[in-house]
Amino acid sequence: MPSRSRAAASSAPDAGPWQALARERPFLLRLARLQLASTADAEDAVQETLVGAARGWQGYAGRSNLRSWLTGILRHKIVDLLRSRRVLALVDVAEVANAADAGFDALFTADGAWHPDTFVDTLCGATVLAQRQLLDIVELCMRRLPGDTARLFLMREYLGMELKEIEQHCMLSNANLRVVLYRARMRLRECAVRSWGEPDD
Amino acid sequence: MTDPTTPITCRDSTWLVSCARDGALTSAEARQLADHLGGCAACQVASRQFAQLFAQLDTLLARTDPAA
Repeated sequence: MPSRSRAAASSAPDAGPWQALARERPFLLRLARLQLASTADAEDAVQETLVGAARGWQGYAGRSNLRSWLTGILRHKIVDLLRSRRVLALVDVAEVANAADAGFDALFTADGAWHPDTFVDTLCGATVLAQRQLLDIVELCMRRLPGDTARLFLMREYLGMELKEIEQHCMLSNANLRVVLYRARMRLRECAVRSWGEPDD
Repeated sequence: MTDPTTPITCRDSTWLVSCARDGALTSAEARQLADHLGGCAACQVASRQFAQLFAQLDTLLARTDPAA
């Protein structure tokens, strides 16, 4: 159960935005650092997000989940940063492919069926994990993706960039990008379903 | 070109689930996926897992919040 002070701080904008905003900073920074190679760029993007949010606090007025609101603002900051650069992110295709291969083939039999020894059939609805814990699991699994894979994955899943734009931006073929996204989603699923099956202590 | 009447494998079906996240499947691909899911219990589970995962991802990354 949340403490009285924590609950009050999260629901009372008139207490001042900074306390609530500061609490979301670590998450935003982790997200930005997954996307931006430069730590300084990530910190700048997060700082601009928080300053912008503080300025727009009256307009926000609790109309959406605070983290969602900030995550949306940060998205625009990162997109602007990426698009302002000519060649943002050259990707080492071989490295991405090799990193994603680890353990992947064990998921399937030689004829392409799910391997009975490795297939995890847990559904998250069958667990007692709370929504916040489920999101923490997804974030943790995302942070386990190899660097270039995570950046490409988030360009698509977080920034919402079209495949063609990512291909041009990262000098990747459509086929390579699709494989990277596919492997990332497979890794994420594998990581998440294994955590869904863990008892909630 | 893939023959749309050819049955696909579980591995193929996960590929199509991923592709569907990035854009609409062709009618032939959608049919192949539906046919496979109709007869494969493991892929029905995996498909639900992906749907749950994608929904959580959308929430985490604020992809579904109109105010964000």
